[in-house]
Amino acid sequence: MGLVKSGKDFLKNTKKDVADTNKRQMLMQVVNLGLIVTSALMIWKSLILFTGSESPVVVVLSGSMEPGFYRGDILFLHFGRQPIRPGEIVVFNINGRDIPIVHRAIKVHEKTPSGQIDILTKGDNNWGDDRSLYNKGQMWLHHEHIMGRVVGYLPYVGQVTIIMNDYPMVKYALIGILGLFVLTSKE
Amino acid sequence: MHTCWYRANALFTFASTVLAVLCILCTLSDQVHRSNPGVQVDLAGFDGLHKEFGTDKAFVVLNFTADLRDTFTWNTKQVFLYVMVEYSTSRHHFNQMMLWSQIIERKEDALIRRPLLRAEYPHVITDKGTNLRDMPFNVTVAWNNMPIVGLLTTERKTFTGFKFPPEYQRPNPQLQQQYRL
Repeated sequence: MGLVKSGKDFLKNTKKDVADTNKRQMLMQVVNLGLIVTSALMIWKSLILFTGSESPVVVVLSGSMEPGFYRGDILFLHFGRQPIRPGEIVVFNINGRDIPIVHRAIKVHEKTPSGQIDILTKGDNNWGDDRSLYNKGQMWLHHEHIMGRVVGYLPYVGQVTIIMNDYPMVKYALIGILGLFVLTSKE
Repeated sequence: MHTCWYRANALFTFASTVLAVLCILCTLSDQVHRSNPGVQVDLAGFDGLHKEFGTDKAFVVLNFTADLRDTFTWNTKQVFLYVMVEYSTSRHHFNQMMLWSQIIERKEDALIRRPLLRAEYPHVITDKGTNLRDMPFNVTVAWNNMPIVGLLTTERKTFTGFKFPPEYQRPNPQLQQQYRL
């Protein structure tokens, strides 16, 4: 009699243990997922801080710099303190347009004494300069239009983000699979 | 149940790590490479110095030679070679603009001789005012090494002691003739 009773107790206790550990493990996995997301964010933000560029990694979206940069290549930007000089490849934003452009500066005038800078750009693969791309009547880019200058190059890898942008389902599927991985992985 | 996924994941991680290390080694090898390209610039003359719409426009003609075969490494995708003119006025202490540029994709094309190098569209030498008469200027030749993977590097060489013509002028017939030959 006594034996059976203790056996029942044992079963009960084990069940409770399993439930407890499961709960704890689930919690751990969620914390892990949070850690991954926040550390990615931290890396991105510290890159912004160190490069001085608001978007330190960009993907090339057009062929205007071919054959140097193709659509889907990744560029690493650095802004630094030095003013922009002709010959440098810069990423700039035209007011009222959300997609930044990667082109080469071909002409620079710097005003005395304010140091206000006038920049004209051109794509290496384009015949004319970029005045046709700027807003109507805009002749020059200024410091505030520039997001950074290109210092590093990695081919092809950006294709992933282009595909994810063109087919959002792929993005959600990928995020889902990765999330599942993290949540179900046992460590 | 997960072993298949785990293996695929491990394989992918390993492959991308190897690739990343290779890319880093590749761009590091570029940094060790030392080159000493021969670049020479002389002033051949002027095709004119005009005043158009209240701004000065100069037509510089240069005698330009560059041998960049040295700069090519196994990690070079292309070299972007450009020639710039720079000068300083009272209202703008820094003015620099490209006069000519060229993409060089092969080592065999990296020897360039242009005895009469003129500004090519859309490059043009213009001032923001009318200060170019008798203005001293420098010519800088620079080459931007664009890699297959890794860091972009730019080297430059500056030639000083040039001067724009003292008065507005029309094209020099002698130079034009030379151009036709």
